[in-house]
Amino acid sequence: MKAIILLSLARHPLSGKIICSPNDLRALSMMSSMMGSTVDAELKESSDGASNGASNGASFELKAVHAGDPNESVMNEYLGYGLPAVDVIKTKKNEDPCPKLAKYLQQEKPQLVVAGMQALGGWGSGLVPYILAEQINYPLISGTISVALQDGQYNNDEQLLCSQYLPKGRRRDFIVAPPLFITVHLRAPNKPQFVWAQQQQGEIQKVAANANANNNVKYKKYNKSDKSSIQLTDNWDLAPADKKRSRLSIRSNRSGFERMQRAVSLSGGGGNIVKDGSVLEKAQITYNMIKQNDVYSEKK
Amino acid sequence: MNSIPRIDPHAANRGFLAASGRKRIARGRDLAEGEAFTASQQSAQHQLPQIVIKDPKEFVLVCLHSREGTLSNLDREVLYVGRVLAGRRTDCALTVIVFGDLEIDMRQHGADRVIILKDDRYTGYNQEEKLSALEHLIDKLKPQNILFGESAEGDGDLARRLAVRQNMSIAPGVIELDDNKVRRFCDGGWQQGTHELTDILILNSGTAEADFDFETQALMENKLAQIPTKASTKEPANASKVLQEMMRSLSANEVPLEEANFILSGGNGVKDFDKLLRLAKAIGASVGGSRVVVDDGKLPRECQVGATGKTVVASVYIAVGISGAVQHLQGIKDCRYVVAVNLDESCDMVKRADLSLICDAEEWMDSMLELLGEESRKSA
Ligand SMILES: Cc1cc2nc3c(=O)[nH]c(=O)nc-3n(C[C@H](O)[C@H](O)[C@H](O)COP(=O)(O)OP(=O)(O)OC[C@H]3O[C@@H](n4cnc5c(N)ncnc54)[C@H](O)[C@@H]3O)c2cc1C
Repeated sequence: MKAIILLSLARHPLSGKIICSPNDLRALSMMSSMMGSTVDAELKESSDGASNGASNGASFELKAVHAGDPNESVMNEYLGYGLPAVDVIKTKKNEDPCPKLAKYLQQEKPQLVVAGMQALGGWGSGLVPYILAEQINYPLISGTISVALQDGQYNNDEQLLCSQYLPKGRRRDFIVAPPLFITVHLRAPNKPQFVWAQQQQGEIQKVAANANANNNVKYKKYNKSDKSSIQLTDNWDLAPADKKRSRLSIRSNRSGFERMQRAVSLSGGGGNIVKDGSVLEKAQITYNMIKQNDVYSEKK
Repeated sequence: MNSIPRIDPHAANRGFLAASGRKRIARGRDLAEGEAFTASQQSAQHQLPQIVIKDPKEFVLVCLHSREGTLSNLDREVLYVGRVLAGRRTDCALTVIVFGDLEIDMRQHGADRVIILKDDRYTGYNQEEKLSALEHLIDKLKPQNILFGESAEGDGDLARRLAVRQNMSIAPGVIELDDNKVRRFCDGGWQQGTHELTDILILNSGTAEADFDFETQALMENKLAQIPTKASTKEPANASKVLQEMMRSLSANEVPLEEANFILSGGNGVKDFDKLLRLAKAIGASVGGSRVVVDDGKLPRECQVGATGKTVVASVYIAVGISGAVQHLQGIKDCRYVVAVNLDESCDMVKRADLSLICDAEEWMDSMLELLGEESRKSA
């Protein structure tokens, strides 16, 4: 199965240097851990035998692509993380990479496209996966923390088993027929391993993907505004970042005293204090409370 | 000499009664002549100003997912921003679209109109279905702005899909906004972009105070909530080919503490930590602790909750024998329901807690284990 990972370059938050994007390295790390091993044990157990046929993930053929300057030396570093080659599509500075990337993906026809949640350099809006998925007509699952291949239980085609991060220890598992586009969550396991020899062996390949900016995608128009293509950064005033933030609030004309009094009276009272009664009764109260709050999980 | 006004602190009408029931004296807050000190007078004063929008002509939309019937702090901030933006126009209502059930009073959260979508088709990761509902409502209401939170429940995901599908202008990761400008960081935090308000705004946390000192109507828009099934339109080519979708929850020992939904935490008041661990296992809670016990090596460092430990967001947090130092309370500020088990009724943890049990920690743990043993025998 062919998988393509999208790589970007980031700017280091402290030094300002151009670096490999930590988000994309995480995605790469997740993919490489899937290649060598069988399905994630946690995932396998949970999907109730659905993954009985889980095959060795080694059948992923992983390619990487980056749209930008092919002479950027930092791209070389990605090779050290286990990529034999990276395809680089040349784009001009500030050019929208989406049309060319979409064209490239249409040519390559991968069954799986993998991207980080958000670029940590450039515009960093997290929109690129959505635009590409729309342009090449792939379903998209955001915020995944693992992906694996398995033999189909419905027919003989291969299927993807992927799991999505949700807060508070919840996960959502999907079995999906390819093709599929996924973004990788910040909580995905991340163990990037840089190997110098791999970097030396790897290769940056310049590829051409000639797409005219007006791809064949048609967008419906929202009648409020009249735009012909997605313009992400137009009319934005760019300036060096000012880290100070102020919170939006309605300026109230009440006095400081009144506001303080309100705060006091709202937080006043506090919770329910149980002092009398036996310890067993207090334990019973706790037990009822955890049952009510639906957090108690019966031991299996 | 008499020109300086003097206030007699012993006058009968001096001061007022605070909610706590104590008499307080503050400038300009005296009772009128002959009025009695009653608590009810206090609550009457605290009638919040009402915001009534009879016949809205314009709309601001907020779209969010509820979880267990409640909203997160980020959701509250987004609602607050929505209310402020709506308030800056005349006859403009804040309409809130909620995916999932809601148990809280939306009048205290700035909503003028509420649309609750909790059909089966909106549960799970059915983003296409949610998207078409949104598209339908946008078409009906023609909102000025549509607000989302950059939450882990999939709001930001939905917002981006909407922007791409409908080709609307979008500002993701908004860190600051006012009447007519939004600001976001880009280029890895080295640059910022400012722009007039876009169609879609995805807010990071920290954009607003979320201090709702007013009440709104929160009228249910049941008619709008009837969204026609899109049987007529043909399946889009990229309709998800998801063959199976299932939810699961990691068991308590697999969940990282920062994510845990249910935490049993022990402090200096606990002597037997084996017992604490046994109890945690029996009730399916993750284990946390205060810094003192972690420093003493009674629990591993990963378990430390607080300023120098982990910030937790559990729905239920049980603090056994923890005094509630500010450094510890900082770590549990986002916990929904806090239980204190402590001998000392006056400690800060009891002040913070929603439920406090004044008893010995060991005895309480014994009783809990006994009770759970009984329950499991009953059900067996
Ligand atoms: C820079 C700095 C950072 C810090 N960071 C953290 C942090 O991240 N996390 C943290 O937790 N602390 C932190 N602390 C320490 C914090 O100030 C407190 O010292 C600590 O939280 C106290 O832990 P405790 O509540 O377990 O212990 P104590 O303060 O000793 O409280 C024990 C409590 O148990 C009760 N008790 C005693 N016996 C029993 C019994 N038999 N049954 C029931 N209750 C009983 C007592 O009434 C008391 O309330 C920090 C301090 C500093 C200076």
